[in-house]
Amino acid sequence: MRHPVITGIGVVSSIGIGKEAYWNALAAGVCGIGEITLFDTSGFKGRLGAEVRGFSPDDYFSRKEAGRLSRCDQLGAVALSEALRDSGLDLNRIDRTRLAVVIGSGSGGLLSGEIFKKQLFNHKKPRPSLLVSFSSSALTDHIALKTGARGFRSTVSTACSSSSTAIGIAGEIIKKGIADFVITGGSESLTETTFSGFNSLRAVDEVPCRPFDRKRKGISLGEGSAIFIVEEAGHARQRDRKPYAEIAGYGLSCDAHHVTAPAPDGTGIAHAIRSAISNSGVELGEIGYINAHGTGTPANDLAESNAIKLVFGKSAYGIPVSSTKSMIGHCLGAAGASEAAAAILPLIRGVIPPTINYKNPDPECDLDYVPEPRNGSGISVVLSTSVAFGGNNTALILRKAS
Amino acid sequence: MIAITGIGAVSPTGTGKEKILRSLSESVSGISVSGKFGLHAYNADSFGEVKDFMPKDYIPPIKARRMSRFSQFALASAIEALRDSGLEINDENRFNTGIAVGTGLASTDSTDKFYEGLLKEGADGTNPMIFPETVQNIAASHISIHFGIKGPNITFSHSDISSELAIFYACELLKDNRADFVIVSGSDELSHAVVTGYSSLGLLSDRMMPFDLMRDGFVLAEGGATVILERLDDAKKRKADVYCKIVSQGFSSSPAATIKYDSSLGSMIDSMKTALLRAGTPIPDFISAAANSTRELDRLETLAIREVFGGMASAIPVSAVRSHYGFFQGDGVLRIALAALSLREGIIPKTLGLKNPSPECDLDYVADGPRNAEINSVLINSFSSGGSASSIVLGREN
Repeated sequence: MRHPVITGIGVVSSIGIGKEAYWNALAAGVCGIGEITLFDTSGFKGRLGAEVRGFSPDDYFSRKEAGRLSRCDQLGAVALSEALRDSGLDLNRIDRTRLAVVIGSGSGGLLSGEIFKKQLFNHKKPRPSLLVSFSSSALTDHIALKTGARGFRSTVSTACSSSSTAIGIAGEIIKKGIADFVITGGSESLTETTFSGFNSLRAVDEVPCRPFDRKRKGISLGEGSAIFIVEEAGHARQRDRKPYAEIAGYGLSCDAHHVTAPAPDGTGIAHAIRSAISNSGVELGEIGYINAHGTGTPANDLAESNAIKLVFGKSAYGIPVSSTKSMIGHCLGAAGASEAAAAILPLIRGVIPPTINYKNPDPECDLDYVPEPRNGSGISVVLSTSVAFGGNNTALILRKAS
Repeated sequence: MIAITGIGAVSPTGTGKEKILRSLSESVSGISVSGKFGLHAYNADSFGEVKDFMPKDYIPPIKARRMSRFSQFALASAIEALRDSGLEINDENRFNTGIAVGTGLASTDSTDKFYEGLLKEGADGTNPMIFPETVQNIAASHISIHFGIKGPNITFSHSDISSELAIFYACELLKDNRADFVIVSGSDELSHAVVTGYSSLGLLSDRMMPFDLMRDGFVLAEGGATVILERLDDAKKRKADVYCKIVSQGFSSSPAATIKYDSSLGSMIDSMKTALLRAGTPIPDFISAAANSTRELDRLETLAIREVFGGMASAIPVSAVRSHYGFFQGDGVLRIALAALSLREGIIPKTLGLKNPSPECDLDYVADGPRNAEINSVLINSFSSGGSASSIVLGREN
């Protein structure tokens, strides 16, 4: 039996650049949601977002390279560098035909595409190189170019569940022997399209999002990247590398309900969770923490709470459930990856990250949503759920590596 | 072993399985000066447009009106394919049916229109009906909602191997018993935005002439196709009509810049070798080439085929079906559907537009086709800019 383990992590987020900064902020309940400076938000009702502030491409890239990469790819490339460094893996000493790249993509290079369109719209000659990074696979291909990866390569694009599914597939291809090493995760930048899109659906809260709170009104968008180096456990052991966690398994399902709203009873999400449990071979009772999708929309948080009750029954009330989107916003294509990096906090530091901004209990959402950071030592298996437009659900199970 | 038991298509060469089959046997071109949409670029005004498709033949008009063409092509072809397979989605199987979609760029028209509304009128100009169509997984969602399919649902958007990844994932779902049937669709749409984009990168041409001396880029196209996959044993048990088997698939990649093909050939050679080795088929009866009439890819694929087959390379017919309809990134399922039909009907498709082969392109490209032949195996190459490669072997099921 081959076990996929995470041995390197890189994070760029609105609450800190670098995984240590990210974990410190999560454990302290820091909020990254505030005014958006990347573009003009006047005229919109929900104007806040979790922007990666103080990110200067010049600190990381030559001007030429920065020009070819969208902001999304830049955030991803910085997370990649940290993840590689952190893993201690010497790429020159591994068989790179066995190195795969599996990335989840949301809006990708759309921000660059918007600049192109704006130039065209204003009758200026647009810069064609802005479109080079438009393809969803741009970051995947860039990572392969940077690392010399020659193995399986794929880009998952299921909107808000993309990078959670990517991590699941990364684990699966190691279990199946399709690869020995995988670079996985996701990246997302704020864009005018997604920002105004969620506003047009009246799905953006005017204040920082309040997942599971009775007064919740919608999401706060976010951006960032989380990249993981995954390898077969035996290889990590050989090079004396203690893994952060094992990717135990994952499950997918579809609501077949509505293009933007989840099935209210939670049956779709429940099916994904059950499928993940059976795929990973863990016992229901082992799951000690759930990092929920918890967007802060009335519909999502109710459907998700219902799903957890469907799967866990009475014991649902004893499992801490939190939404780290209360701190980092909804990072769309990077949501699953950023949240996987948050979900393992109990395994690494023995701390459960909180749902900040949670003040008013909702009688319909009556689980334990962890309003304050809490001791989580003793937890060895965690679940992260992701829900996307169109009812694309993903459940990912991570556990302490033996 | 995985079987293909249903086919549906919305293609520039015609809508429906019967029409795309006829286009193969009669070598009909689907490329023409843009009609309905008046698409044009400074260096091209011919496109592979879907012309005869009436959404209302498949989808209730009130629903179709809200869908992008990207979604319509995928859903309509899925409806045709499912009907063709004889399967019906019901309470017994809706959780055990999966959906896997491949798309290169999804609905660029929706994204463009939505953003244009914002540019023109600010917040008031943004249309909430359009926004959901801007996500890549919207087609897969429409398919699931239309049929009530609740099993695994995934969308890959990975340049020219998007559909090939969907095929891969579907086969894995079936092998692992995570699904009993999988609907695999590949779809992309033409739009003013995508034409402007490709054209400003200088990639477009007015004519498809793969391997020809005068080739100078591809004709941009659109379309959607769906195949129904299931385990061969199950298909036989329910006495389904099996088109062919997916015998094997090989993946490889090489580091290459985002808009460049793998000039080292490594990924192309490796993916072909892996697929052939797994299939136990040293020499396929023909190769469905990735060639898309660009200077770069047609030459590199020829060299890679030479490298893999050595002296035998000249004896293998290499047919570029993209010469019939043009090129779009998510066309992998359409190419698989065409290859499955070729295999069943014993037709090796003609490479259209090839008059004077480039000296560097010296294989048998079936310029004199279509040819009738008994076909037991087809190798389908898909080589993407950025350096990703897939090769699939389809085999006859006797």
